[in-house]
Amino acid sequence: MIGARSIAEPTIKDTIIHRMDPRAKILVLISTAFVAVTLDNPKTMFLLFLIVLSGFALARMPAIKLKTLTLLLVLLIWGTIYSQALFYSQLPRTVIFTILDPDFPVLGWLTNGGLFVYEEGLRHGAIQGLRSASILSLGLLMCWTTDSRDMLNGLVGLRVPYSVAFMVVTAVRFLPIIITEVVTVVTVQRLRGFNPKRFGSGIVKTSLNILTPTLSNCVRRTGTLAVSIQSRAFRANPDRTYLKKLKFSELDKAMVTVCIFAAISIVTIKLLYNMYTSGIYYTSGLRPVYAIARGYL
Amino acid sequence: MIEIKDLWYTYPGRTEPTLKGVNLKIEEGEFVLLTGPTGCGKSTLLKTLNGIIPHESGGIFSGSIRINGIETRDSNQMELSRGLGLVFQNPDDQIFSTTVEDEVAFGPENLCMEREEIDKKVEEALQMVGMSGHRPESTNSLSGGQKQRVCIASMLAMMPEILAMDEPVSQMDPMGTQEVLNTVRELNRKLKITILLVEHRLHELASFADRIVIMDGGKIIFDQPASKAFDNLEVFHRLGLRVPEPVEFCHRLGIRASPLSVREALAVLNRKNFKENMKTPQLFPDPGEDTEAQSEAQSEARAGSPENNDSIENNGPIGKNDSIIDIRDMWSGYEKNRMVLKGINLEIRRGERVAVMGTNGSGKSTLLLNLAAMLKPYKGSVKVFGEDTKSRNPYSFAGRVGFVFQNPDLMLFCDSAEEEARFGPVQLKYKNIEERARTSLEAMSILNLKQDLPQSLSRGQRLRTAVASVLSINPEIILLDEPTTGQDRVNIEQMMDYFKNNHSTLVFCTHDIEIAMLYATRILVMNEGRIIADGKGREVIKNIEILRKASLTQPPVVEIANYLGVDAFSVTELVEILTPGSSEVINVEVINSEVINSEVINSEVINSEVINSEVINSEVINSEVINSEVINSEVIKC
Amino acid sequence: MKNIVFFFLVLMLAIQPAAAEEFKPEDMTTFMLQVPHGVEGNGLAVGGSNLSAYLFFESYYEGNMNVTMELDFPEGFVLRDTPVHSFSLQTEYEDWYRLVDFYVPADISPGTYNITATAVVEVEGNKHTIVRGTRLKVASREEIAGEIAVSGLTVPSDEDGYGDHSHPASTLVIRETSPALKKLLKVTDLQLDREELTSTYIGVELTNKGDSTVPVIITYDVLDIKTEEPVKAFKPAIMGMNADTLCYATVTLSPGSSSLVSLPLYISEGAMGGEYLLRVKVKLTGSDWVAVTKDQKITAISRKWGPIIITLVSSLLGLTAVSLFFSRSKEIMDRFKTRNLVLIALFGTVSFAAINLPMTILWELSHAVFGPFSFLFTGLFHEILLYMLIASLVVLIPKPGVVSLFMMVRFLLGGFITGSFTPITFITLSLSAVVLEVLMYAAGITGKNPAPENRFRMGVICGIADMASGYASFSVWMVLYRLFYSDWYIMANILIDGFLYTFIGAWFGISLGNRLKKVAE
Repeated sequence: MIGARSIAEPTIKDTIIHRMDPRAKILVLISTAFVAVTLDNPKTMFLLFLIVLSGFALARMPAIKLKTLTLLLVLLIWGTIYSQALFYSQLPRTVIFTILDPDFPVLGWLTNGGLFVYEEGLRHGAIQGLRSASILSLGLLMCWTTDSRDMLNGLVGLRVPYSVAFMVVTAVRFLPIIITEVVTVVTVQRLRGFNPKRFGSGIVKTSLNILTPTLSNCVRRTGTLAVSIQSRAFRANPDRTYLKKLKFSELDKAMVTVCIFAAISIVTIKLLYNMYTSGIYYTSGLRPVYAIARGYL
Repeated sequence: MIEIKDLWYTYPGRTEPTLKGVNLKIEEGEFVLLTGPTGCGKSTLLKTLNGIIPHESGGIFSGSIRINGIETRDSNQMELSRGLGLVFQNPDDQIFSTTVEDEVAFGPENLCMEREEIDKKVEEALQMVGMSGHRPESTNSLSGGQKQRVCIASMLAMMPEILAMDEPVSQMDPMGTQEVLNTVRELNRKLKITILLVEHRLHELASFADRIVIMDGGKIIFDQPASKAFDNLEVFHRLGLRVPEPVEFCHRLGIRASPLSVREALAVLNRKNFKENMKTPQLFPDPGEDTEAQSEAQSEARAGSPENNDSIENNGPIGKNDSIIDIRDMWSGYEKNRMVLKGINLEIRRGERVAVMGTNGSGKSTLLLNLAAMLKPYKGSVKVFGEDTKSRNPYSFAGRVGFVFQNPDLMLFCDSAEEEARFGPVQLKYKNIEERARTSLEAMSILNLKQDLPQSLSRGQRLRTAVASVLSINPEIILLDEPTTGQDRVNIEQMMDYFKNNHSTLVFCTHDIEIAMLYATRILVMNEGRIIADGKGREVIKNIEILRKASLTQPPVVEIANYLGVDAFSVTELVEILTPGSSEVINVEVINSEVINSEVINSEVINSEVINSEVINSEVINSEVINSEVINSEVIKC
Repeated sequence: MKNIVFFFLVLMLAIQPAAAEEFKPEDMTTFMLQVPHGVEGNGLAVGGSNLSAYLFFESYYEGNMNVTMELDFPEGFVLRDTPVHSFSLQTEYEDWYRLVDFYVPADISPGTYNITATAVVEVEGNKHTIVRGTRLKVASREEIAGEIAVSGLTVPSDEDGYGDHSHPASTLVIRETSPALKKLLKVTDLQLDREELTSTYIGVELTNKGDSTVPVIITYDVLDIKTEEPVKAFKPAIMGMNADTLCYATVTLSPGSSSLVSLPLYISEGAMGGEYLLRVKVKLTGSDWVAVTKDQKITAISRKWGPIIITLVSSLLGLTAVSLFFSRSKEIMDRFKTRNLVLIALFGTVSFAAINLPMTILWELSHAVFGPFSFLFTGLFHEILLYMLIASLVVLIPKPGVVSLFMMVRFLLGGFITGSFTPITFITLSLSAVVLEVLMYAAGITGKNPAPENRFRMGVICGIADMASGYASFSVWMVLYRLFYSDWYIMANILIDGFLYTFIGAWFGISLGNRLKKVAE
């Protein structure tokens, strides 16, 4: 069973990916996200996905993480495929299955002419799913190869205010505790005969039953934690110093430069291309650029 | 060092002041134990020390607090943080970082120290608490004791001269408690750090302190050096504070001494040549043969004495083979290749009260989850009510198995205590819901709070509400996962008394050996997923090796009894053995159960006289008189 | 005397009535025969054509003339009109013309046929005969198909049929706008589209390789590339008229020449993007038989400006809010006590533990099971739980900025734990934070004298904010992730998930908040 732990916890290893500066990872992730939403060419999108996946090999991810990744990717891509199979609105489209007949009372009218599974939608979903898959995979790779506090140092290094970073550290630190508490709360109620799956008993009730004890505990905990933190001079100074100093290695610099450059280039090219296709802006000098965009991006 | 003058404080929104003219002076290097009943204002006093009150909290504040000559009201948090460090009850509520290093570095970073200096401070602080090897580790992977030591280190890194601690060991297992207390003692002795420790477990901590201060009703009512503090126990008894067992023991025997530890007690006894002067055991009823009968008698006679031996046969018309739980070679865990429980064999019969003991991680909670059928065994079989849990839905025993979790707060989600009690019966579609709710609330003495919001009740009331919510479904077996953690003893005793009196079948995990001794008919000791001891409390507690494996120690009184070569498991019992008049009485009473009270008194008086004449030590006579009085009254009650 | 005689001679010449000019038939008339109509020179036809011969007669003679015209077709041709026509022309420049329909039978043998027209012109009693002849080549279908070719097809083109490099070839852009946007554009006078229909042109170049002049009709169809069925959206009815009556061109191709014609192409708003087949059909005039077809794959790009603009605006709003926060972070953070920050962080953790983590798998699983209606189920957890948390947090800390901080923690936590530093989460979270903050402040829920306990107000505000962010997130999915969603689906989602569930969540969140407040006391 793939639990919360296999999703949430990083693996500690010493690989080229693990050694990367967290700031570099964040920047690479952001750049890749830009590239992923910019691309349209299925082959290039697949290539990007493969490049991201190769990161998992480089980071020598353990089997459980790969299993988790596979499960998440399968669910994600399947979800996209399913939704697009239904909502695909390009031609040609071939109905391979009718879910809801257009003449079906009420729902037929509601869905504005029935609901069908389109063959081309399946393909479109699979291709477009690659986009989210690349972003998700890279995000997970980043999380699984970086300790959360390094990531926070990275954020602070990227000028996120310390108070915010502090809140996130606190949130991360209490996550396993609160997950256990939520599980306990659900268990307690089930042992007292409550069945949250039973819709009749009300989702609102279930939600309140789960949140009330969990949050009460948080509220109680808040008092002590705040006092403990204040007694350690939190925010007593406008500035603070840091024990950890992040260092960009040459490799990090190279990686970040390449990724940012690639992202900016690809985004710019696609933007120009889209302006060209929309008839907003065209100049003949950019024809090679249009060709690249059309052919590869 | 610390000088508090006429300190008054009222929380915002309240009319009654919490602190009412506190005056206290603590010198450099002192170790002060501040104690008092729940709600006496001791935690509030602590918060005033580093300026959280009044700087952060608001409220009405008057008087003066000077820390190292600095008036807290006039100085900022940063200055105060450097002077005084605060450590609280639950380390999980204090640690906010994900790694040990970050947690400890947090203070120095906020104080804007240079990087090299922070690094040095972190290392030094961790060394002081013996945690330097854990620097890069995740805070979540530490044990309770280690976490609390990290909390202390995170204060030490800011180089405070004073450490103020609010019940720092109340949520620790025995190993954690030892770790933390030893660390604190070292800090005080070697580094001369002034310690102000707030703790209600006076009996366990008194030996560490130089001075004992007692607060009650927002005032300091007692302030004595530790060595003299227990000369008069009246104040402690009045406030319901438990005094160290060796002190209690000596006082009961009429010895004018207040030994705070077993060693001191033994020294006192040696000084008085107690062992040599003691009657040979042959004069006393043989403990090996008669323990059971004796203890049954005690249970009839007195509350609060260990009666772990009141075997199930005595609990009513229950057959010997009425097995509720039957576990055969059970292996269980959360991951296939990491079994938590390894080959458990266990049978629990109706009416038994089983205490499961062992260090954290020994598999206690996993065992409970298996008993509740929430976890299925990987190998072997678990039969609950004769049904194999493997084939059953995890919650199919809902209603028949009651589970009180370690943190009862997580069990409260309704709008009122009454609704909590009604919840289970309503869900399970039971009849006479109102009556069930009322009975269970009454059993936990919270009927008067039935309309209150459960989450806003006090800690003890919350525990009782949680228990009431389980009792209302009238389960056939009740499982309690460390109900004692962080709870006042009064609450625990009230709850356990109920279970005992109702002959409930009970399985409970606990670190508190005294509670186990008092309430369990049987103790299981677990270590690394195996049951290493299973028997009556008295048998288990004798085995030092087993206890050591479970990081348990014998209660001081048992150690003293061992030293004296007698079998005794509580102060009362030991005193009785050492002053055999009282035990004679009990024997007489048991043998002639129909003897009228006056006769018993007579025989008791005669017996005491006989024994008095035998006891050579004059000091003992005094105590004996006191004891006989006590016993008299109890016998009359019977 | 001699002079006088000369004078009179000249005078006589000058004043004598104009004597009737002599009629010269070839010079004083124009007589023209085109078979088929429009073809100068030799025509081309195919068996089975309904054609018209064109007769034209014009007089340059001042006087009256009566003309009898006779058209002579070779045997086998079927004349649909009378072969003899008589008319009279009264004055100079008066003309007469007539289209004479005839049918070239399908079974007529191919070859060249002579067609003559004879005009007998009677002027002042004199009859003159003028003959015109032309040759009509009746060719076999194969022959014609080999002679006429569509040598070029430019989509889109300008009005003259010429291609423009500023538009990508074979690509049509369907500009679709939301009604609201249209109104806005009208108000701001920034009209992107003039009509409901986008129009462009198709340039068709035709070549006649043969030696006959060929009159042709050019039409086109936009077909579904798979079924080859015409797609109505590309031939919409225009002002009640069938587009087929507008979308054609005729041209007469001279032997050995090429011609470029342009055809208008209309795209209705409801057209879908995708791949289509543009089929240009060339028919010989008079025949239904399509002599030549030319197929070209074209791509239609659907540009929905509504979602694009919403995505853009939401992103900008999010970025602005974040930069505003970064630039004034100290000031903002100082308004919160440490215990506020800790509480917000812990609420973030709870939201993550109770919503995000289970949702990571549950979301997709329920999609797999419930399909498009899964939002009805997932929303129950997601929206109700989330807004219970938000509303109760606001009850506990009714300060402006509390929702933003909560959202920020959720975003960063999601990024750290599941790597979801994605544009979609950024945009939706920042948008809902901004909307919630603004509305709550405006409604007095947060601010100087906060009143967070009105359930209805809280419910409505949270509902509106979630609808806005829900709509924006669909736009982002459509624009940045190129996913499709039906309008009904989006509507159902934002009404049920976005408003209804959110409202319920916020409503009960207030009770939860009040309970927690008691705990905090």
